Amino acid sequence: MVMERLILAGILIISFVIAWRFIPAEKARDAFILFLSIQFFSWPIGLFVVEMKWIEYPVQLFPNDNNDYRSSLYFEFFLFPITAILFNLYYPSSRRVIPKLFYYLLIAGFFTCIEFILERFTKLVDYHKWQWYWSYFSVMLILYLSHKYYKWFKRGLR
Amino acid sequence: MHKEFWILMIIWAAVPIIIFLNIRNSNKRVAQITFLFSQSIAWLYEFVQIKMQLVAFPYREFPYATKLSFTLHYLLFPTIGMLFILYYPKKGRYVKTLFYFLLFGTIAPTYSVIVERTTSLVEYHHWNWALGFVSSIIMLSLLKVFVFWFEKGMLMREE
Repeated sequence: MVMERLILAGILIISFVIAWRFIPAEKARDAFILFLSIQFFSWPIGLFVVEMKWIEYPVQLFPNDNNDYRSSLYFEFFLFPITAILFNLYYPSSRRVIPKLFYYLLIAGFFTCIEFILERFTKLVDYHKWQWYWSYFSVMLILYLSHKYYKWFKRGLR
Repeated sequence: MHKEFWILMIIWAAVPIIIFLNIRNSNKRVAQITFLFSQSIAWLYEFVQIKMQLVAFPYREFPYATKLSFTLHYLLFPTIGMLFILYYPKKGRYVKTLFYFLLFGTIAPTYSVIVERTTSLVEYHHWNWALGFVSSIIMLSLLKVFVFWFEKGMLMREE
């Protein structure tokens, strides 16, 4: 229990540090576009998978968080958006298709890996019907959608 | 079917139409960012309400996953917020702006009170219209500050 809560607190702290150190001030609006577009997807999807009891998050940061919101606040609103923001800010747009594809696989893999390790060794995530490759696929899909949206948003501005 | 179900269905059917009728090519980016940011504010607001047990949503979309009302923060508040920003009187005088705030501030709490009286979509524990009105004004103000800050940066880049 203590270890799980420390990890969640760690996710919070790391997210804030990354947001503060690695997102330049002039990119603040870009970060907002990405953060908000990620939420647009992760709210319904995150709630749906919990509602269907495919995934469970037995331990949350505060003891009775699960009374109010069984979906994972820290993955969906901190870890994942931060990953997606960095993904987009450092996206290799001048490269060719293969490096881009590799970049997708790598970042989505990084995120899926963290989730998989946490599911194995902690009580933070429990997969019921869920499989790691569903995470891998949905993370990649949401990264793709947010990237497309971000590019569309920026296109009209210059 | 329950009347609660039909109210939610009407909201889900009406919101896309309202969005479609009010979005123009010239304002689509502002409209969308407003919509998305309203979702965040409204989610936080609902989360605090539930945490402090001020209200309850007995009939809701994800009864197992959350005690929050999904439609409320995902569609209803954002639509009100979007319309608020799109028709905001930027050149209006003080009185006009104040009146505009008061007008939009009444929409959400009034809907909420009516729904609380007649359905089980909302249930007030320690809540009333006046509190809803004040929090509605605060949320609209936050939204205005954010969107105008965001817009300023977008215009700078367009020059």
